[in-house]
Amino acid sequence: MADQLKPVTIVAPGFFGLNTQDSSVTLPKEFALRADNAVIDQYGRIAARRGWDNVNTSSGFNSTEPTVIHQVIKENGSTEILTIGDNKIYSGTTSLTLKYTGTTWTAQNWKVVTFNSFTYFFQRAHAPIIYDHTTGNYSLVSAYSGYTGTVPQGNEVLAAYGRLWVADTTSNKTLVTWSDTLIGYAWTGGSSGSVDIEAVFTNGTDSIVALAAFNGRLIVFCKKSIVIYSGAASNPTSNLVLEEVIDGVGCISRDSIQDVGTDIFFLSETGVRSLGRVIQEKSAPIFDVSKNVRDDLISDVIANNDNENIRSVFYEKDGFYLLSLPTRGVSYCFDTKQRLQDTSCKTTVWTLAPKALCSTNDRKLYISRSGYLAEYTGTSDNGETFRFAYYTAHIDAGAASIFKILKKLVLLVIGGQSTRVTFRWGTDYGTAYRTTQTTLDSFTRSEYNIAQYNINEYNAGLLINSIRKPISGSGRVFQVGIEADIGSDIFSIQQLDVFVKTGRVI
Amino acid sequence: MADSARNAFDQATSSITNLYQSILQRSPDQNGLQFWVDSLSKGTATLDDVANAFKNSDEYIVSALKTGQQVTIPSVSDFINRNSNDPQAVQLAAKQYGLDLPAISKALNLSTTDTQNYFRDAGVPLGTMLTGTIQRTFGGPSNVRQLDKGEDLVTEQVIGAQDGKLLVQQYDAYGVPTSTRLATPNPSDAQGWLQALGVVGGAIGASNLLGNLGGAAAVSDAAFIASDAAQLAAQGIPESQIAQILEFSGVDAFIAADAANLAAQKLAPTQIEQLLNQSGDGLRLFDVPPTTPTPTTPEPPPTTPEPPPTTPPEVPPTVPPEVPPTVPPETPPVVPPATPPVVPPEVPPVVPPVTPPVTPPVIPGTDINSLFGNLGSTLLSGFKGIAGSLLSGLAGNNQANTIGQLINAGVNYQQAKEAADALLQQGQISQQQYNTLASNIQGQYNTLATQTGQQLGEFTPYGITTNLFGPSGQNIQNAAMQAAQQSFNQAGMTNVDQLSQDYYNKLAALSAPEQQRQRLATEERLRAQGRLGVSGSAYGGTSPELLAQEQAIAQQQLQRELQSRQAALGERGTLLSQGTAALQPAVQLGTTAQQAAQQQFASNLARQNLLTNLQTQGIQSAGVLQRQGLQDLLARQLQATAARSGANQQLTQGLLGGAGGSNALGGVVGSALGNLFNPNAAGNINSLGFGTGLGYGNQDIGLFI
Repeated sequence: MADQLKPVTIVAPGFFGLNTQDSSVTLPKEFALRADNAVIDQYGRIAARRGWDNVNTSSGFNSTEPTVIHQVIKENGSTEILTIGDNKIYSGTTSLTLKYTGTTWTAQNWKVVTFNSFTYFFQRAHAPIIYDHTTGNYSLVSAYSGYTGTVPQGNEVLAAYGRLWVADTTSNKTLVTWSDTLIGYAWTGGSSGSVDIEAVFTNGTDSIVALAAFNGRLIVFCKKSIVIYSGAASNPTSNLVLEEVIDGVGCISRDSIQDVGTDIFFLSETGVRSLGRVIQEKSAPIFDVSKNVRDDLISDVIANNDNENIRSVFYEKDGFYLLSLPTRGVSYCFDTKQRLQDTSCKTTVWTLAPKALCSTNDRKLYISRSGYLAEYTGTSDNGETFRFAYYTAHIDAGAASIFKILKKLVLLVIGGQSTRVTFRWGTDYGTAYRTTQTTLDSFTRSEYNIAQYNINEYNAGLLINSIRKPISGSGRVFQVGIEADIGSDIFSIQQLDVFVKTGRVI
Repeated sequence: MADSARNAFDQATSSITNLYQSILQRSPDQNGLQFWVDSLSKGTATLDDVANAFKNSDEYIVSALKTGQQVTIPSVSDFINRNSNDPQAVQLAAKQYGLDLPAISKALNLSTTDTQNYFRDAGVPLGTMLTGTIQRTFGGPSNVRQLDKGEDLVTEQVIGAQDGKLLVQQYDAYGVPTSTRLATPNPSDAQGWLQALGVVGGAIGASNLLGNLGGAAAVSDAAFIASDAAQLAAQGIPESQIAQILEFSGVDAFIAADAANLAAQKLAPTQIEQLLNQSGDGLRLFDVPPTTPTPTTPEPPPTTPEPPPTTPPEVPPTVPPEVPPTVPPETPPVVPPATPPVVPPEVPPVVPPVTPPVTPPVIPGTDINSLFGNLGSTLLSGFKGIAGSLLSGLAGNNQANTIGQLINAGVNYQQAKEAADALLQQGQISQQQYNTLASNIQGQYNTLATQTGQQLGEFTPYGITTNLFGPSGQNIQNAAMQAAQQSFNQAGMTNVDQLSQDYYNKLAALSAPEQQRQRLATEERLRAQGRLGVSGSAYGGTSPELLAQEQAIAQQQLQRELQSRQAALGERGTLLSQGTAALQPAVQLGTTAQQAAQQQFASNLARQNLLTNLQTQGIQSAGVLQRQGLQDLLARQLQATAARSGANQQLTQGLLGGAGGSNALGGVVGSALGNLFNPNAAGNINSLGFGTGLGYGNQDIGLFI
């Protein structure tokens, strides 16, 4: 008599995100070998990311993709979205208002900060620009009334501890200059000053890439090291004290740095890392955020070939840190809601790689698109579908030496109305997947017919589809992949069951 | 130039500059200063030589003469010749040395007429220069008469006419107007005019005497000389004595010699006069050669007139006393390139020979005795007796001896010289005697100065090294001065700035390691704190730590600078203190020497006061003696009156008796006695001089003994 089918159940498949670094044989079933355009949803399931919609009604930026999106939070609490593209500064969302034209710009890699009623624009080898919130005027800082000293034309600017901090000029990669207190255009007199960190490097010299304020400290990110100063909060000239120099880990991209609440994420030469906050110990331990995708990430960063255009955003609403490699066309999404045991983040990959990202205080995530300012929202990319893909690790069903014969696949999906789903499976580490497709039914669903939080997301009731598909093939290990063209509904994989029949011992 | 050489040069320059200022009363000219400094540096001259050269320079002499000082002129004739462009200087020099017109003319290489014109054109009065000569001009208000009136030289000047008489202003010896008087002139005869003045009887006595002897007034100088010479020759007086008499009466020595020679040849007076005029000697008739000896010393007046000797006594040959050369031969001075006024002589400066204490030359009185003895025993004995009595009454001894005693007693040179001048002007001594006396006085004072210098040390007012302290003291002083000089030189060479810099460098070097350690520590601390590169506008573009450190370093540097400065000043002060301390022995020696000099000076002053008292006493005694002499004179006058009465009686008797009554000699003697014992003439014989002048017409040749 034949044996009964033996189910191999993967509850919350891909819950650990991608893991392309470990051996597939020993890889836990929760890891995925492929998780494209996926996120870890609030229930810990792997799901398709949201889509994006253009915000401005008509194409702008001369049909080029903006490089900078910045939310200005004014003193009265009002906000303003500034977008830089096509060598211009625009204001607004649905309609873009030209505010400033950079006639002499040679790049648009601006770093924008808002500080004390002013917004400042800094870019290496470019005259800094000031936006006076009161008057609404834009001008060069050097032309602003009350300007003193010489404002450094740094590539990095940080508004923290009551002043502006600027670094990474063309001629000086080790000098951090700060303005007078509360006056971002006063660069001499008062408490303005500078510190040259050339002498603090412990392993040769380095170059400053970015600055960050964190835990009451001034973090100076260099390419291969991180210099942490304390005492920056009050009169740094007198109180700035070196606290720690982390050698061997640095930041290679200015805009990869994001404060994720308890950590600062940044892209280093060895992947995305976090500077942990341990208040009690007054230390800043380093965590390897991208540990499970390290080689792929490094490979993509290298392939991106331009660290200047790498952007990142911490979208607190969904709790992910998104690192965009525009040239490579890929983004790495690191879920920060719940880290893995090894403190790494569940990682997914997006094929969406905006040149500009901005998370606003109203929990919106703006991204740049060609000619548009877009918002990360919806279930399609401005009406277009995008391919969600999830591939399990190689599964041996607990008996790697026993031959398995694949019989049936049962997929429990949340959402996915009218979504075409492709199932792929393969055996013994092969890439020649067998495929079957199905399109999920379209019907109205409602969860108690009450919109959750009165928002259009998930306002409808969850649609649970259970899909059964016979599959074939045999081998010692097998792999199942689910691909879905997301364009009309959410798509979240709740459970995956694979039924097999065990055979002879190899 | 080494420092020592530079110091020597500076010292020599300073010393010579001081000499210029103190002697010549002016700043040195560049060439002169350079010449003397070179001379000093080469050792060819000492500061004494320089001082002597300055004192012997024409510049100094002229200046001294013009300020009324008595100076010693090495060679008056050469001086006059060199300074012919300065008539006033010539006049003063000639006046001081008693030169007469011929001598001045000779020195100037001019004729006497040209010399007179020379002075006239220059506006320099000439009359007062002619020592021994009374010059007068009738009727002129500015004519000066110098008369011998006792010890004082009283001058009278006709200042106008009043009531048909001459208004005569009288002056004392100092030129201060005293009183006026009216004199009745005798316009036909100088003698009468003088007699009218009532003051010249003595002065013209001999002239009257000789004029009476000649029986007629001469009409010219040559005529008078010829007449007198012929008369003397006729009296059998030898030629030499005739010449001596004439010369003694003021006739030029050459003229006197010529006249005596002609007279000795028994030539007639007219012939002698003619020959004299032909020889041109007439122009120098009244010159008084300065070398003419005047060996006359009046003898004490006899109580009674000695009878005239029947035969002339032998007149000893008149040999001028040897006068030691007071002036060494001058050699052409070494003139600096730019002819500095002060010409340094190459020969040693004029230093009068050291002579023993002046022994006043004994002026033989036998000359007058023999002279007047030859004139007649009665005349000469009375003449000699009166003169001797006066001289004896004046000083009790001859004047030269008196001066010698004064000099020996410490009377200063000026006083002695003034006394000699007074004697000369009073006619008590001749020019030659005066010169001899002056030489002796000078020699004695030189000797005295030498002795004093040896006792007190060579003192000069110019800081010249002296031997006030003796050889050992001098050595101590030299050593102290040398040590002090070295210290002062070192102190002078101490560059405080450089020394301060050196100290600072040393202090900085000492503190540099610690400073460097502190800097490194700060740097290390800042580096550890990551603050090494911190800079802030509020801290001068650096970190507060570095600013504070640099401020501390700067403060330390300032303290070091202050310390260095103080140390440098202290070091120089130490050198100066050492120099001052080294000077102490010299200062003490100098103080001791000064005290000794003061004591010596006080002693000398006491001596001089004593001498002054003695002099005063002497003068008082002289006055007493003078009064006694006058009393004696009156007595002798009475006796002479009685004798004249007797002689008149005898003459009357002789004339009446017809035996030898027309004897010429007797007539002469009678006339002479008549004049000699003329009450007016005797009354005008003053206490100092009894006029024995030989009068020659309008030109009086004063002979004062």
